[in-house]
Amino acid sequence: FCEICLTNNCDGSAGKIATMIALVSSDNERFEVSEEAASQSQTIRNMIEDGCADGGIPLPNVTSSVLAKVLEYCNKHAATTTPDAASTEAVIGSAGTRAVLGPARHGPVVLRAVPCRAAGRRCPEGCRLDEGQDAGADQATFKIENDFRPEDVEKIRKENAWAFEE
Amino acid sequence: MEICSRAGMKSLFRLFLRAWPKISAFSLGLLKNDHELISPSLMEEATVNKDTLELPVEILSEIFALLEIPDLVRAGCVCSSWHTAYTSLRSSGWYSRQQTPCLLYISESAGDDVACLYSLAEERVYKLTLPKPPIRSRYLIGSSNGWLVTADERSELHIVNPITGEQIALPSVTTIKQVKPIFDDTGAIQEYELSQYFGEVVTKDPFTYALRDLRDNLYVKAFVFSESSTGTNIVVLIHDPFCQLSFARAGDSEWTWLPPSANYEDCLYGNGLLYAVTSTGGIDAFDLTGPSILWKVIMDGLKNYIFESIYIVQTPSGDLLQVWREQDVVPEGDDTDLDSCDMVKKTNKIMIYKVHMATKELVEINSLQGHALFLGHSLAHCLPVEEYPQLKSNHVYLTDNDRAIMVWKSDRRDICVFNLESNIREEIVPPHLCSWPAPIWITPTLTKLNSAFKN
Repeated sequence: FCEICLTNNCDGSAGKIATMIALVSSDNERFEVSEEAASQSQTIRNMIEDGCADGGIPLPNVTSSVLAKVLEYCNKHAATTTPDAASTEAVIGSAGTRAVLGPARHGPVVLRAVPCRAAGRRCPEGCRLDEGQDAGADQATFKIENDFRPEDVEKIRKENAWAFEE
Repeated sequence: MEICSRAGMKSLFRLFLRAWPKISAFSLGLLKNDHELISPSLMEEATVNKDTLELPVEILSEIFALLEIPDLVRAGCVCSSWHTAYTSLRSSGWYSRQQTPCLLYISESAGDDVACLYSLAEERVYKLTLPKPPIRSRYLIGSSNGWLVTADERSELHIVNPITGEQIALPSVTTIKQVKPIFDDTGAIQEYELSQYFGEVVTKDPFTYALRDLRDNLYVKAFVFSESSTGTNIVVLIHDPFCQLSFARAGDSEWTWLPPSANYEDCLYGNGLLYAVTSTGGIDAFDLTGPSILWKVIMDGLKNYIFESIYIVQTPSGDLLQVWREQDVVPEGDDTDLDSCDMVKKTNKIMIYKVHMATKELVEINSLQGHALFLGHSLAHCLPVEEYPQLKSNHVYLTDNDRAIMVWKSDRRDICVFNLESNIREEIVPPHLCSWPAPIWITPTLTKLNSAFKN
């Protein structure tokens, strides 16, 4: 696994040694990411080019837990990339983006959305959901606590009861 | 996880994935895509617990606005913050997601008040309970913008929204120009008399019908439009004798007759005008907004009566199309004994013409690439399949309709998806489908009417 281009089959084409950039959350936690990956954001790229990135790039409106979640998600899916399941999609951007475009089970299309927006470009494919997700998607980590009382649930469902019948 | 069903889980996950661009944009906080800046104040509201990512109501509402109605309604039931986002979206009035049309039909196994809704988007059936009078006893004579137009056993008209259950009575049938009530000794209406004239031309003596039979001989097709200048709802009827037009606006107590012309087959409302196509392919336009009604002939009819059913529809780009549908009467099944088997109508050809307003010509077009048509007793639609991934390009979705459909109530209905390229017809037959009231396309809506038609 190559830490630079974040794939399992690095061919060394990531080029120069990756510079690491620190993203600093609103509560002063530092997250190290490669400059390539960070530069997917136009704003960050500007700051890097203007020389403001030394010492880290502050993100005053993002908390550490949110930032951690986003980076964890991206890394997790990059890590599950296998060489066999090669994506036939055109690669947008650099090595950092390629990692994110890995054909992970749930999300080649989903992940496409992230770098597109980061690059500040309109993604020509759009950010459509591939509806072919299978039942494995049920197990996604999407825990929402149901804070309704049972009688409230009944009442709300009754308003549109037809939509809830199996 | 609250929603126990597998389908519910899948639906929610799809919601999450579809929303991911918004969630990621929100999280990263510094993304500018086409000048879309998420305000810092929204960022601060986000809290992240150990396993959850809570989004502010405004973001949730934006995500829900992408959903079609059944998914939207289910999303509103997941937890209190989602419910808040759902009610906020609905009350704001800016939920305007285009819905994929559904087939509304009556099933033998469901109750008298139940209508079945087959969703083309989800490929499943919903059962909707409608207000009285029982839907099974009514005729479905039109469907536009989410509203069904029905004729009950007294031949009186209602519009009903099957999704919301809202129902409004239209002006009495006795206010239609050609209809006169006949009273019995107690002063109750016993029968109706239907005069036989159009414009100034009287063809026969009036006919008399029992209360429930007038609807067989009066109504041809009905539409519900929203007038562009005022936003007022207006119901337009094509009715006998001779397929004339009458209309009523929300709040009217009577129907207004639109003489002098007759022989109309279909209507549409666009560019502030009511367009109507005649059975010779002519197109008239009516301006109903001024103090007096203006009538203009857009295109003259052809010399002869056209055998096919004619529809008029507007494309997303604003062009007018005439669609002619040819149905063959064929024996049902493989029975070669023509005397004993049933004869059914099946669509075997569809011709599409673009209306050239300047030259007043019809130009045949061979295909509808990128679009799907919906035709029948409902308001004709031409939909771009790009926005409706479940629909097939260059196909026509059909339900049965013709002038004489009332006569053939128990016949097998011609409900199908017609491939314009191959001319092959693929039948749609939901289980336990009743042939009467005849099934009809409907585009669901959650919109409620502001003003009511007077009773």
